[in-house]
Amino acid sequence: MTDRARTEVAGSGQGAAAGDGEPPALDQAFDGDSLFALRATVAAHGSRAGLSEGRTRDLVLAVHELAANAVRHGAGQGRLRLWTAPDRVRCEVIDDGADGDPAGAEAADAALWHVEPGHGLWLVRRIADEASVQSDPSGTVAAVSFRLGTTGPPAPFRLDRRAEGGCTILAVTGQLDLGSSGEFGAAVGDLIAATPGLRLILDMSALTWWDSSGLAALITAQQRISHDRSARMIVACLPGPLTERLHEAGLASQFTLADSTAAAVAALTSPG
Amino acid sequence: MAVGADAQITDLTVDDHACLTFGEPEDLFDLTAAFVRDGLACGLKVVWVSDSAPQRATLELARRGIAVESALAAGQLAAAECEGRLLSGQEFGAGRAMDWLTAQMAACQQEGFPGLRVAVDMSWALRPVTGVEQLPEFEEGVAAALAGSTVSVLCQYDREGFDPVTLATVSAFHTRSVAAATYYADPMLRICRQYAPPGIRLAGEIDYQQAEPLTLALTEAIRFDGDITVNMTALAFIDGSCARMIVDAARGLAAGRTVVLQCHPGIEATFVLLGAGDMAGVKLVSEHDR
Repeated sequence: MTDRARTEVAGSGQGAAAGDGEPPALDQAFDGDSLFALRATVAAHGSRAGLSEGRTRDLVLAVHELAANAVRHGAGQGRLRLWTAPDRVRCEVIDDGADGDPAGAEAADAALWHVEPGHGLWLVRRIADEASVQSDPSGTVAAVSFRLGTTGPPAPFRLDRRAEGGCTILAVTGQLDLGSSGEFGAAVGDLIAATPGLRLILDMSALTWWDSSGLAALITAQQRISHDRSARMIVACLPGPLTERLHEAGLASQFTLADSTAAAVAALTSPG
Repeated sequence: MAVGADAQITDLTVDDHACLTFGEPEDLFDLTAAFVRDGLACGLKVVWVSDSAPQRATLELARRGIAVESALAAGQLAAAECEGRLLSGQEFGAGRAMDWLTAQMAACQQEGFPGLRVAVDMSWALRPVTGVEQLPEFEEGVAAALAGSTVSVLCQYDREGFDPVTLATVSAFHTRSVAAATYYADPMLRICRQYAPPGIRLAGEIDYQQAEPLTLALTEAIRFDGDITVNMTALAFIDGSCARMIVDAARGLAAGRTVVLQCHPGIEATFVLLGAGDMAGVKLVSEHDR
């Protein structure tokens, strides 16, 4: 069984390989001793492909988690392939399983992809735009991909505040990421502190994307609102792909979502 | 590293003449803050002759939880530069430096403090200063002056800057050698104890392969009383496995105790995604100006 064959197995899954048929930009073997070097290489490739600082960090963490799984619970070593396409960076971590022993490989697979909270793939699913795992007796291929932003200069990050029907609407424009999450968090914190019984609507219609820092800022905002008890928050107009990401990350249930700010105002001001 | 450490900064007592070796500014500020904190808590007068401007020195102490303003106002704390104390116009003389120290000891007694703690950053001796060869003579003089007194002196030597011979020579005049307890150190990662505020400090990149020293460091930190800080401001990477270990350690603490996770936003996100944001006993502090 060649690596090539397994690559195609993974590529036939959802989110078709960005580099299908293309030779990878990076094809590197790794084991436990070379994870540091692997991270450094992936960071360089991610950054050169145009991922932001925060998204590059996320890529590095996702690849590390997959590679560490292969080292710890799989064959003890593996291979990373990375493709950069105009719209995404895609990585495959190939784990040959336990020395070609099919029974061993299956057992390793079962232990490999801990999906329980906090473990391996669980964390990867929260940070990667796409994540998939394909196994057959010869081994396991785990793939992640990170979307690249639209071409052209990105919309600068902006927060705009307005009042509507007793609610505060905070419109978020641009990327909610490592560079902007601090500003966002401070703005929400100020609103909670200044407004007893805050009814906050996050208008996300102009949000282009987020990284793990941006996602964490949203989670933190919701936690602070929930902590306050008198305050409530609705996330409105979240673009479809990001809503999907929220569901895939298993985080949608932490938020109240609305299709429009009008619907959010109605929900926040309806009696009871 | 020619000088081993035989004591913790928190073990120092009166009339100790301790030799502190430090590897990075974080180390120096942390250990000095602990020395100052413990001195102030015992009602002693504390003087720090630092290599940086006094404002910077007191700011670094304040950042580490020292009530700098009130101690300065009460005359219990003083931060000073080397010039005019150990040095005179970039010239060092053992006799003059000893005169300064004995004057400090006398003043402290007059002011009614039960004792004095003096920390002296020796980094001035790394610059072209005349009379630097009198440094061992000064250290010998300090040792003689402290015997039987209620004064302790902490001489601070940059481990990277001073050559092993100088360190070995001066260390002979000290009653104790002090350094940060280090659980792990290689070019990629350093795990050491933090003294003020108490906890541990991680710098570099950490993944599951260093789980063992991390566990040891966390276990020891948890044995301290009160809140614990995990200082990750100099950490560039942490994997899910180590982040989970830290979160689990925090979760295992008794009610009422808090683990403060100090990190920059990229690392903080991992902890938030792991659910640390609304966990009882965990406080995330993000340093945006890493």
